[in-house]
Amino acid sequence: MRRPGLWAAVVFLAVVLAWAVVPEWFAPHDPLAGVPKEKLLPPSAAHWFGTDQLGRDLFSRVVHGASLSLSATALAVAVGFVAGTALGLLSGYAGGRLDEIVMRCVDVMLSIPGLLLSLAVVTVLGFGTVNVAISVGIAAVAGFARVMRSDVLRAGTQVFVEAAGALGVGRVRILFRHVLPHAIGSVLVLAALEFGTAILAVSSLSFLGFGAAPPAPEWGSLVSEGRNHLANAWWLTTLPGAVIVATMLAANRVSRALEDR
Amino acid sequence: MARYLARRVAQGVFVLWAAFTASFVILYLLPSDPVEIMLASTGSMGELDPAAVAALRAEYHLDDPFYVQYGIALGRFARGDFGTSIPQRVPVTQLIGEAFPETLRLAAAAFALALLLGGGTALLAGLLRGGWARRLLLSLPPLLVSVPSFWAGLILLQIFSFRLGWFPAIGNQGAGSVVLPAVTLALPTAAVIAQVLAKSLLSTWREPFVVTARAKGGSRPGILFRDVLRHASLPGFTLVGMTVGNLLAGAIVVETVFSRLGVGRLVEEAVSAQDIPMIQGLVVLSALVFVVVNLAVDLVYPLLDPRIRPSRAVRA
Amino acid sequence: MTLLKISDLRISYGTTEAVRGIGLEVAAGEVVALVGESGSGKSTTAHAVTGLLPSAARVTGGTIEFAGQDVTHWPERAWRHLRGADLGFVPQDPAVALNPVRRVGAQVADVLLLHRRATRRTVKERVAAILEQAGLPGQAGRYPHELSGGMRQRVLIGIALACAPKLVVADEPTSALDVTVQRRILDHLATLTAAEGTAVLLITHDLGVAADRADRIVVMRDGEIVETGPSRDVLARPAQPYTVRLLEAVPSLSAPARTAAPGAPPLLELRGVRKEFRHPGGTTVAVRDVDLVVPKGRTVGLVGESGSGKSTTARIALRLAAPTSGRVVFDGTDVTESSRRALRPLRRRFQPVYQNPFSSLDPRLTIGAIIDEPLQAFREGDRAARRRRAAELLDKVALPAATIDRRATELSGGQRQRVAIARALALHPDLIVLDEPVSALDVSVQDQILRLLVRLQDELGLSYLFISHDLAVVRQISHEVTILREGAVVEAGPVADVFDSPQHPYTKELLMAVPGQTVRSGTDR
Repeated sequence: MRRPGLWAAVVFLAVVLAWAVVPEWFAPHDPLAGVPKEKLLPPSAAHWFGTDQLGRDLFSRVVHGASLSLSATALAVAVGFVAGTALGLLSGYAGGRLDEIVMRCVDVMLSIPGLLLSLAVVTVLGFGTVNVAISVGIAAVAGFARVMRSDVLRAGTQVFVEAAGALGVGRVRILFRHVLPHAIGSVLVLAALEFGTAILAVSSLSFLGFGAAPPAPEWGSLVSEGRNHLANAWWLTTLPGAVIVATMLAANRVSRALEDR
Repeated sequence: MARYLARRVAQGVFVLWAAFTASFVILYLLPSDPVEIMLASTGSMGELDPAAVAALRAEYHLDDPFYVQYGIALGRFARGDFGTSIPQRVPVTQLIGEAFPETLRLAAAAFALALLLGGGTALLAGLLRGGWARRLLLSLPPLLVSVPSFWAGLILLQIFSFRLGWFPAIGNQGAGSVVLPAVTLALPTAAVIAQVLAKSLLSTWREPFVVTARAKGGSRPGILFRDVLRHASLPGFTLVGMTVGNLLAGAIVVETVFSRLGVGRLVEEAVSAQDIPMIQGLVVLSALVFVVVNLAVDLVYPLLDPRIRPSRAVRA
Repeated sequence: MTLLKISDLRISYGTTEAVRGIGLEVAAGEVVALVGESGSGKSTTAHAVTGLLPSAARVTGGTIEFAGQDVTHWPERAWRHLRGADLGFVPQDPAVALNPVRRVGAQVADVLLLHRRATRRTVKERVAAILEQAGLPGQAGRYPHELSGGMRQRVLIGIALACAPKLVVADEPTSALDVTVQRRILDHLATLTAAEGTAVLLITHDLGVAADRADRIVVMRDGEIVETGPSRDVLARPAQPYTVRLLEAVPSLSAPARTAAPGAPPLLELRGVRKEFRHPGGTTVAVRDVDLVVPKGRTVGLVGESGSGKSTTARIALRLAAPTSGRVVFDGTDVTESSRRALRPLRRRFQPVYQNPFSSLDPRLTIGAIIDEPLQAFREGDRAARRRRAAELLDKVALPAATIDRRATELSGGQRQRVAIARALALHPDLIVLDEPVSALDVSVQDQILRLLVRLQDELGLSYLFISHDLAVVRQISHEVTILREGAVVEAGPVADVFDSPQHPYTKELLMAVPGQTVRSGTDR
């Protein structure tokens, strides 16, 4: 237990993950049914995060929201990772004209801020959590492709890779035995880092109102709903937001530990 | 030099063209019927006005083959015409032209603030050799990076507008109204600047030329400002383009939180209204900003890093 | 008068002790060489003397006295007044020791201004004078990357001597430079320090350099001083077995050369090979019309300084690069334009050994897997047979059998290079191309590898193309030698002819520049 911060991060992520899988074990109340006379109560022992304008328990809504928020994040990272690494591997290994074309496309994608790109895609796909996740993933493709390609190229210049070629080892064999194992490391680190970024992007998009439809709880939209009561119910925006911050901090802490390894 | 400039400008034009083409493909060609998307959220609730549909189809030549559509759109693009915003019936370029100065003012204030905060944090940490103060300072940027700006903005609003009443909560009126949005926008950028600069300072301290500087008898602050800082800040310049892009993206959220007029707010409204011409205009605008900023960085960079300049090697 | 006095000094990195109770004195105006192989603690000692120990290092005992003051535990603040003023430091690698983004004049000016040897007004003049003395008149406005390695080292010497210090510590000042440049730099340093009566503590791994330059030699090993005394005595009558071994391991320029009956048939022929590299600024010619023949069962040494095109020639010989013009013929087959596929069956007959054994072996694989790789690529036998072959090869290069399951990262540099040789031997090749195979190794390890190579050649009838910058090493192992300069062959022939009666002025200069000729001739046996 030499790194208490890291362990706290791991434990927190495990708890949030458990919220997403079995929310009913953690949520004290129904996330959708409100008790009208208990509306806008500040945090207390009965309602840890207080209640909203319909008298719904905010903590229960946050716990139930984990499922939507985290699965959207995971989907976004998966889309970016799979499409990006495949593109980067192809580009770096094939080289020549194909590499040139792929990299020009990547440059153009990188010239547009990720959030704007996601918004443009979501306009066409339509609103909703899954579409938000896909659009965030698409915005991440270019970054993955670039890192993967440069790693493949860099691994290719290692002396032991040239040595394998000089010894008579075949090209495909070199790719899978020497190049890929050395290149995959930094892409995995990027995937871990991308988790934090994706949580932020997904919650930003749902904060702007393009994610889950109203009654369903989702972290970004919870903060957004609380905006109407900013002056008299601070907890409605502050507490769900704090959970997002804590999740991102934990994810970033864990991915940094992976990077240092 | 002139040839280099021409090449860079040509590259920039290529990026713009590619951004236009990509957004055209995504926004106009992929959807089965863009007009349906465009009219879906204008309030006509299910029943589409046949006349309006026909007018739009004609305006965007949607009944023609895609290459004709593309050719016409490209011709308009070359003249700086992105069509008309659907809900507002005003040319896209006019709306962007009105909003852009507001966002520019906000982004410039945020950038200056971020540079000051981020650079100051990294430098101060660089002066301290170790101890808890340095660790505390260096733990701030990763914390700030993890704070979504919509949340930071709302917290600032609660404290400084509602509780203390120091700044107006919304709008574009007066210098006071820019303070909270600029701080909100600056925080994540400052965190990135601090992280990049602190990391670069740390690795520069390990460079062998620092040993040479110490062997001359230099003090820690002396070496920091004479030798280390300039070397360490160079990698940061390549990130300026990305930083400006992030400020624009951040403006989408910040302008929404603070109900400010600006390009970011236009994006949010355009996506809500599925206003495709507007979105395309904004995407190309952001590519333009990126191209211009990076061109400027590439032109300035050789002045800062002598290794990039054409070398005048001596032989002896 | 004693200027520097080290008594019973102990320095540790964590729990490992790098310097274990050494004592050492340098008198005013004296040149003392501290000689040792890697890990001997010589660099740690140099850093302790200048107060530049890395933060992980701790002085755990003993004292360092400089000009009568005990400086052992001085704070950084106190060191600042000593360093640069009374104590100069010449760092190891001039390529990285100057700030790349500042003009060299400003970097010289720093030291003068810091110690108030000049004012803002007069500093320009002083800097110009120092650079002129360094042989770089009017170059104050240059950036480091515009200067050659030798010129940068002159600037660094200028900085170290700017304030006329009492002692200069030079930490391997020429080990990153070519041999002809090394000679000029050491001459330059000697001239300047002799004129001012400055004492020098010269840290070096090269006994030859120590012998040529020092009044006294101190030999270090494993953090302890093995032997110390006037240079002539230490070299002529070494008292300790380690010093004797070190001296014997130094390749000699006058030992009898390897001879072989002429008339062996050619195995590899390069005919008029030329290699050009195109880049935006024009074309660089790396190799100019080189002719080279490696006869069967012989070693051909290819010698050159940096930029001579020797590594490019090696890559062309291995057909990892294609020549711009000229032919590459291997055992009668013209392979100049052979495709990757056509070349593959021939690849098993010529194998490479690279310079840096730390990068040429995949760090993730076990030694067994590394040696197995070429066997597997050519489908040599089943798994058990290949493992037997790997064990046999390890035995052949004198590595313990247990090495087979270890990883490259667990081995020393010399052991790794043995693994690389074993891998090259796996397919029973006829030719091995060795690109600077011993230049990353300590002299005693180097000697062992060279002996191993000679033994393997005698046993297996191998041919070697041996590329090196080190004339003495090439002389020890080669039958024939080819000398390259700026991509062109300057001189070629049997070793005895080229070394004993060089014809070309460049060959003569190279031979003259080899340090420690007195030692080597004195210890031939």
